Amino acid sequence: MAQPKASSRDVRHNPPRNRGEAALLGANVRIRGRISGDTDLTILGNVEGDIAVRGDLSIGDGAHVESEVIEAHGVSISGEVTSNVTATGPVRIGSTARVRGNLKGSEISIEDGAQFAGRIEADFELPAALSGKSR
Amino acid sequence: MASTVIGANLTIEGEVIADEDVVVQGTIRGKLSAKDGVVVESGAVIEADVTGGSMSVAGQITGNITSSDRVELQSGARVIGNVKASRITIADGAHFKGNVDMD
Repeated sequence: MAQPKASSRDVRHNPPRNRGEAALLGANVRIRGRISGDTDLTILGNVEGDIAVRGDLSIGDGAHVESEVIEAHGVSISGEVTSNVTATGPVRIGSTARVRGNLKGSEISIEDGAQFAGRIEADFELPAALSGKSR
Repeated sequence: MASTVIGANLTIEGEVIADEDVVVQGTIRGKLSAKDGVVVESGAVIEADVTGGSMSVAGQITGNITSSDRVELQSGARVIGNVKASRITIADGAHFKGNVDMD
């Protein structure tokens, strides 16, 4: 029988969880304050305040997040975000997203249709022709 | 409809306002106000005033509880604060310190 293949992400980043249920902030929830933890987090509602999670953060379509800093492993955004984002993993800006702020992550992807205003900081090798300071 | 779940390893410091059911397994400091049901599971820690509809508490609450419906303090619950609700049950094994107002 073929074993289901574990994705590399699971192997690299799989914090032990006490319970099966991950955190979900529903569409009809408003939070004003700081959110922190070492789980994955899905936001479908309104959040005003900083977010720091060790797991993956998903901000769904229709969600609205306003803060200074969002810290997480992987970040996936389909909603409206006004904040700087610092990810230790990849950052994905979906087609329905509207993002204002600076992004930092191992990889950054922005889908067609997304609105984005800000700076992107991702570590990657520039081609030799572009890596020189002035030439 | 999927209800909101504040997971076991999540901490919220601030105000949570929900127009839907809320399940708390983690920590909330500040304020929690829900329109509908609130379930505070064993292991959850709430240091906040809690308002909502029907409430079931098996975790720890330090703060006043106001419910438009009923409050159930289950075995293992630890509540320090006043409870205002039209109906209340306190199970054998629940810790409770505070006043009850059933008006």
